[in-house]
Amino acid sequence: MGARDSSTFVLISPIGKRVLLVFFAVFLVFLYLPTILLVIFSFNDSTVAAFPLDGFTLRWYELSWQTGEIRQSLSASLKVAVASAAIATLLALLGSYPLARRNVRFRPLMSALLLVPLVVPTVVVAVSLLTMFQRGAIPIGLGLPSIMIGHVIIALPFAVLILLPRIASIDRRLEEAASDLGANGLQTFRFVLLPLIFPSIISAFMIAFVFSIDEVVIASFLSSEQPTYPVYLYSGLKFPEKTQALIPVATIMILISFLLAFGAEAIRRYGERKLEGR
Amino acid sequence: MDGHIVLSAVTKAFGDNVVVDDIDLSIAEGEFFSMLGPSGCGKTTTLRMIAGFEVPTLGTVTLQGTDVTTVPPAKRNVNMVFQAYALFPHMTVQENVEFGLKIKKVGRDEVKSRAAEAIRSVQLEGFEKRKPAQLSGGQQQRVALARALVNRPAALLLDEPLGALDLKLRKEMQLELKEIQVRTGTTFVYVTHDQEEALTMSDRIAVMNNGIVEQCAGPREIYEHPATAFVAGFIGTSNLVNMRVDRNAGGCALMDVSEGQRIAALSDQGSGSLQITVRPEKIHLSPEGLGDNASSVGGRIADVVYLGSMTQLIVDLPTGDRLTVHRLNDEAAVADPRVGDTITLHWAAQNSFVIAVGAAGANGGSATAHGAPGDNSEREDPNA
Ligand SMILES: Nc1ncnc2c1ncn2[C@@H]1O[C@H](COP(=O)(O)OP(=O)(O)OP(=O)(O)O)[C@@H](O)[C@H]1O
Ligand SMILES: [Mg+2]
Repeated sequence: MGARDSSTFVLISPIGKRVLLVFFAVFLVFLYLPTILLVIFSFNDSTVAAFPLDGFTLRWYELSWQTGEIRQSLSASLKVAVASAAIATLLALLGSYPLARRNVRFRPLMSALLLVPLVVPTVVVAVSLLTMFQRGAIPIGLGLPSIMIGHVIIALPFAVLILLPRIASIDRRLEEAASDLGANGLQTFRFVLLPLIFPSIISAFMIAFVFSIDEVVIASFLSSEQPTYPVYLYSGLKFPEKTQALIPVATIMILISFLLAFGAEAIRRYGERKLEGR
Repeated sequence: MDGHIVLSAVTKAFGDNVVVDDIDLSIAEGEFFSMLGPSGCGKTTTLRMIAGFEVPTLGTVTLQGTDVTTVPPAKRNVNMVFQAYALFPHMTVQENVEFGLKIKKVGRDEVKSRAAEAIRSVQLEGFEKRKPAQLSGGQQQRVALARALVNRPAALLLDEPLGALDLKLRKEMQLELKEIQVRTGTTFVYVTHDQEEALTMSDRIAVMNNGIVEQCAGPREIYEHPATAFVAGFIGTSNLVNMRVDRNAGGCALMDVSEGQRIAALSDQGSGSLQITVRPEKIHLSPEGLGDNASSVGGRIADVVYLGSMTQLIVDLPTGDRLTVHRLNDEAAVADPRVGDTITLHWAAQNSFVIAVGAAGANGGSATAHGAPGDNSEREDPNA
């Protein structure tokens, strides 16, 4: 007989292991089936998204590209996502730096405050922003800028969670060495800290971007005339004649989100290794 | 006070914890000056006050005649070599070395030529394009040195720069550092907890303990004439003997170990206990020429270490103490000592250096409270 299987599941019987594997496979199917179906239907030559399939076509892609509303909502989404990701990353950077360095008072409290939006339900954030922007403390009204602010709030904790550990991992003495060699604070940041955390900054930006681009709750609560793409998508689904034109864009969005989410971590790791020549 | 670097009445406290306690130091231009002491005695803190990373609670720091007590590090003409090197990991050797010059907006050609010169002086030609992670510990150490030296600082501050290297490399780098120091004429302020390193490299040594300077003098003076019991215990191989004082004969405290055997030390004690140290090279295997009240005590050889020109014997005494003895390998007549052999050791009474005095009746046990050699033990022991 061959060598015994040396997997880590020593406590699980062979049958138990098989059951677990089946369970895992079913789980994966449930997780990805809807997405895969969407991709398939986006190429299906039929006006209804249903089986059986009617052959391959690119006309839905063409149609969505030619639909002005779709293009406008996409462009709105992109603007909001880029702006909110940039601002969230910048704020996370400004907040993380002092927190990562030792002598900050109330550090646990400060960290908690930065991370709270993580556990506040998005609906609550949306409602509170709605009341604040409509007639409350900051009456800037509704629309893309307001949505953007909402997205900054929910993306901020994630950006902090990416940046804070990286900054904390950078030896304080590197900054001391720079200042010993004559660099002022700005030069130390520019030439020592920034290059070292740059991969994490990119990563934080990408994650914040993904959060914004498919966010529906805040975007629908705070939207005025111009909806973002997810909001437009949701409203469009009520009209069957619009559905087929929406699917291709949804497909592309899924793809981009996947790429960004996986890419963010890969870029961070690759970047850091490359940076230090390892 | 004159001097290249002067610390006058400098005190540094972190909260209630006084780490450096009213010290005065004057370091001359071109000097190799070491600060030596056990862990936590305030060496790094003192160095960081010279570099500008810490501001003294009291007192002043003067560099080249200018009071720099509160001047930030970037504006001081001294450079630091950090213990873990603190090289910029994302920059190549070349970029690391050029950093200080570029920040100071030195012209392009001069940056290139000075960096090349610094890299050559630490023998790193050919490594310019590597990043720190692609270098060995010794090579990183050299980069750190070049990165500081290239600025032609008034003084180079080194915080245990060889601490992370293995013994062989450390010995090599000691010679190299000294050679660079002599060649460039740069003032070196060198922090170490390794007494051997301090003794071999320094022009002068400040032995520190608990935030004060116990003695500041040349290596020979410190070894031969320790100013305090702490210095006597900290410098040299720690040969501690806890002796019970049985009687006193003419200013000489004596412990009668057995018939014809005794341990002697110059002291007025007639009872109680003493803790003494003896330098290994002062211990002889014959009593000739040592005078009447010389120590003379038998022991069992626990270990024999052949060191080339001499042999190191580790001998267990009946007092429970363990002595290191150095014996020159020049007399072929004497049979080779072997582990387990009994041997009689002799040393003159004046070579028993009294470290601590125990009260009459008390045992010598508490005598280590002074924190002499034992304090060093948490760091790697160069004699181990
Ligand atoms: N920033 C600080 N805050 C509070 N205490 C400090 C600070 N820096 C140093 N100390 C304390 O000051 C004392 C002396 O520290 P220092 O680093 O100068 O010792 P050292 O002689 O360099 O020791 P070692 O050989 O272990 O490096 C230590 O007890 C240390 O805990
Ligand atoms: Mg130190």
